[in-house]
Amino acid sequence: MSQSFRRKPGAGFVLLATVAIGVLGFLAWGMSRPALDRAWWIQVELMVAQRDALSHGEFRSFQEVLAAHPKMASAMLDGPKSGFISANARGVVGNGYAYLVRTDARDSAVVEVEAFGATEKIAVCARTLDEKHCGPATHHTPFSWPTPDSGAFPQLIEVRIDTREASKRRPVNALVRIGKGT
Amino acid sequence: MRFRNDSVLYRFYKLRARTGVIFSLPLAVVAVWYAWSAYAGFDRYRDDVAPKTPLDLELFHVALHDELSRDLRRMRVADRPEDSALDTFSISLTRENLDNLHDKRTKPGNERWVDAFIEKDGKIHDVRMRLRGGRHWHWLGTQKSMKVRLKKGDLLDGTRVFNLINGPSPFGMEQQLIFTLARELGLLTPEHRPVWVRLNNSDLGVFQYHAQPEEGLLRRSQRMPGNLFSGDSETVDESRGVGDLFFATTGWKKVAWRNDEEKDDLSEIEQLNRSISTSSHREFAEFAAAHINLDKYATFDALDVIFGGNDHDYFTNHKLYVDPYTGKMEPVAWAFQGFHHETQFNLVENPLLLRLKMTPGFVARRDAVIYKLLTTVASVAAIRERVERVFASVSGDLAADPYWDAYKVLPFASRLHRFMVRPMNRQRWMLAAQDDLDDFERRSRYLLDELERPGLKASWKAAPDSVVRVDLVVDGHAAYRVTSVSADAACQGRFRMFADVDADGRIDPATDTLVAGAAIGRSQPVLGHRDLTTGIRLVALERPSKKAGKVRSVPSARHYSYLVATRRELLETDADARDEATPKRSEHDCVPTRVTLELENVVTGFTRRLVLDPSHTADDDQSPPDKPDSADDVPAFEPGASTPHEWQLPPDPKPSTVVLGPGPVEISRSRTFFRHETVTIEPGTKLVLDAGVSLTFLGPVHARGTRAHPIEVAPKNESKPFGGLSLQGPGTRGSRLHHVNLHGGTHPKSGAIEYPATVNIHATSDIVLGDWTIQGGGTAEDIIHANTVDGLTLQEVTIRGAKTDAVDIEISTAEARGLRVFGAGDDCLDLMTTTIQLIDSVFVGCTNNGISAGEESKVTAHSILVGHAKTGLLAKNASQVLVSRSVIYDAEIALRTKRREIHYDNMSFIGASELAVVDCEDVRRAGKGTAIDSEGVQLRMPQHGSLDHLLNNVLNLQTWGDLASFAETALGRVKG
Repeated sequence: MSQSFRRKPGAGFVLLATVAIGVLGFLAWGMSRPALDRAWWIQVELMVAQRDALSHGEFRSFQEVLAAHPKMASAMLDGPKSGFISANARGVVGNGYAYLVRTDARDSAVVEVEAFGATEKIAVCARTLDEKHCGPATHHTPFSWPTPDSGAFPQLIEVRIDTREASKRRPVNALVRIGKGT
Repeated sequence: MRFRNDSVLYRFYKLRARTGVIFSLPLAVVAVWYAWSAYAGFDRYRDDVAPKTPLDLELFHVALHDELSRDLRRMRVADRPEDSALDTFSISLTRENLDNLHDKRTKPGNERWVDAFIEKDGKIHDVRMRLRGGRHWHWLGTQKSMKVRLKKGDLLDGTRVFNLINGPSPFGMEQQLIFTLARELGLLTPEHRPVWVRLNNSDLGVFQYHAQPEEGLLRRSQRMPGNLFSGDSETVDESRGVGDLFFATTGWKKVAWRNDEEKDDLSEIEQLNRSISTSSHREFAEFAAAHINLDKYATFDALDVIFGGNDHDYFTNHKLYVDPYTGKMEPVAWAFQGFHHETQFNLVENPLLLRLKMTPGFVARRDAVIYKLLTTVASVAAIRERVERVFASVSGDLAADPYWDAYKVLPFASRLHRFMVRPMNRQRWMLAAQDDLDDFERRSRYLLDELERPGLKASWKAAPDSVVRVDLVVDGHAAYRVTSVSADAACQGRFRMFADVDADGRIDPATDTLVAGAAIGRSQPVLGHRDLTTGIRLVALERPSKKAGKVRSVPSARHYSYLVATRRELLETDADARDEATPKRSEHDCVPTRVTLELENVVTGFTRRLVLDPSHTADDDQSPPDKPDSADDVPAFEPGASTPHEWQLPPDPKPSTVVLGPGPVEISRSRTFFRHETVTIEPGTKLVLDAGVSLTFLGPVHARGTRAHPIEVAPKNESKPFGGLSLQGPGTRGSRLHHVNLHGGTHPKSGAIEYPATVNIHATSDIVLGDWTIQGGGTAEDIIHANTVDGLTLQEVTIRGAKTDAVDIEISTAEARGLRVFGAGDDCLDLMTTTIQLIDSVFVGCTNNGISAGEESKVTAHSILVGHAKTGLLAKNASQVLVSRSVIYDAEIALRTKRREIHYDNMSFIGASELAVVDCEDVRRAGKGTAIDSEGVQLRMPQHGSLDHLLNNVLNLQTWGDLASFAETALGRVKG
């Protein structure tokens, strides 16, 4: 004789399934990489230029950790209220991106980018979690963007640079600055 | 879907509640177990680091993730590589002692120690051990840092006390890299390397082996056994509000000493602390020059600066060794952290360092070392290469380490985050190493930027009386030496340049120093007052503490002025001027129009030419440099104190020559000839010294005796011996002393420096003693004592009637040709850590050993005679003696090797070829673990025609049958 599967399961089965799902979920959550751990990896990889630019998810996650732990931004900047948290040589970047942090919304800031040692213009996009601004930059006419004073702080700013001049297809460096806004 | 109601699946589907509870329980236990373990681990850590921090979900997630990762890692851990380069230390502890080890961690003194056994390389050592280190990473995890002490008389790897440290840093190999570099740079550096540790047959993983500085370190580092001090204080100097290590002796203890009666003597530390606290800048500069090995200290501090160390503070981590034969302290490389960058040179200061940096010239000396290292062995590329090698040597073992963990692998969101110890893996390790290297690269760039900044401003100013003032302001980390100068003018004649020592802008011959003078237009070397260094100034620390003090140092600019004159009045007073031939012109014509200075950057070695003329006239309203302290000020460790001006300290004396003789020269008081004094002793001079009087030479000595007119050194009263002679320090390099007959001496009185012999040669190089005869030595330990001499030559030196050792040579390289010793109360030739070539030499009447080669000495002996000795040739403590075409006559034992002592691992060896052993009771006696190759030994007198050179030319004999009477006669003369 056979029984329909649609009949109600036993209470023990329900309990066991619930516990199993709960435990597996708990262990899976435990095994998933904590946001803080991910932030450490991102922080170090950016600093030693050992990764590509952040994906949107990574950008968001890192911004959330920064906002949750404002002291982390101060520690990364080691003094100034804004500055680089990614690899650079006195502001010059050659890997196509730069990440900057602003610690205080009261200190307005402008991101400027100019082509460093290149004659043609380069394409620049800068963004925070909520806003984005793109434009060209040359050696004499820098890209300039007053970063928004709203949103989560410390504020993570991404600057993406097309480091290949359209005509010559060779990489160029860009000089990235973050200075006081007006 | 349908299934049978008696099937397993159906019954499982219809599981009753009680059964469900039973089945669910293991799963729930697993979850609760991990949840609890994560919480408990975090809680224990939190208690130690930041007890009030609440546990939020984010931190719990991290703790749980780490707990699961640890277990997963242990399940999948790799096997240790079979060709592992790491030594294995296997510890055995009883269950009770294992418990005690942890339970007694915080007990005072000896209560913390437990008995254990350690096995390494198949040898089991009986040890006592305890946990060490107060920070959580030392004791909270499974891998616990331990201090191990072997029983007296036992050593492991040449060390009696060592630590097995659970290093917390993610890369974990920074200290090893820095210590290796320190050792290569000649600093006293304890052994530091990764090792594999097992406890009661279970793998504990990779630890850092760190030997404790003690006597073994001195021996391995080719230093004389001497006083070694360890400074770690826990108390505060109440009046200053900082750690008291450099203001009291309570934090210091002696960990090695020369004599047992000196064991508790801390007088050298008292003297150091007194100088730090109470001496003026001038006094401290003198103290430092005499008692601190400034080159070593500069190197030590350079490493701290380069790698961003911050452990040598007001409380702890200071270890100092005092060399008994130079009287100078040198630091022991200890507690170097690494690869940290902040935009300062010293990340932490201490009173000794501050006093040294406030002494003119020290910072330039230190900075020159930094620059040299950063451009050579500690360049970014060189450090990367070292890191690669470390990777290759330990990566296999780290992969097999079941408890590999580290801190600083979370963002610095709080102290709790920063110091949380988390499981490691290869990816994290590689990234951490990259991060460290990135820090180092930034630091290197910062330091080189600072050091390469020119830091020099020069200006021209017309001074009164047709004099031109050249002003030079040196700033930052710059330091220059003015090597030469030339001056142009619209006239012929000569120019002179004065250092404006009193800084009044006028030439005052009483205070201002003439440093150069030459014909106009010609370049002339600058002599004296030519070093232009910056100073430091103390500023308040943003976050003062008892550990870091209240101040830090910042560079302080210094102003130097030279006055260049071509005035006619000056030319007429100049003895060298040729004014008679110079056509007279007006003064106006003779004002300097251009001054050219050649400068060398003392830090970088870069040379620079400064051409100054009236177009370089400076504005008067330039902000003046910081005001320096007076050289007579006693600086407090408070903001505002600064280095005195370089020119306030006495300049180096000008070289001079002292001539002694010819004829009798009576000396009634002990005399020191300083480094700038070259002493010449004329042929036929007789130095007559009063009782106890000694001569110390710090500069070169040239004793020019001849065979016909030798130099005599004798006591004034034959019954009252004089002291002795000493050539001390590198200033004596190149000394030559020929044809000297010396008798009636004993040894110089020892003060900060020990002088055990009648003739002492210490810490120098290239010294020749030729054609000497020395008789007796009173109560001296030795007749000739050489220590740390690179290139000592003893040529035709004859010594008779030594009360103990005749010649004692330590930590040197030497050659002896025609060395003759007749009668010694102990050894005729005693060697320690010395490489020597012995040729055509004779050792007769040696109460103990003819030649005793010890402590890694290397001896090659050719054409020598050893007669009437207890032992002919002795090799001990990893020494090697190779003897050829020689004779050993009338010895109890001709060749002897002794088994190694605890400080030396290698085997001692004697090899002989064409060696005649005659009338000896025992030809050879080889100690355990040593070797004597006696195949080239013949047990009879050399045959006619064999060894004729030794017979005829060295011993002046016709036949070997005359040897007995030769020896008796030689000894008889001594006794007579």
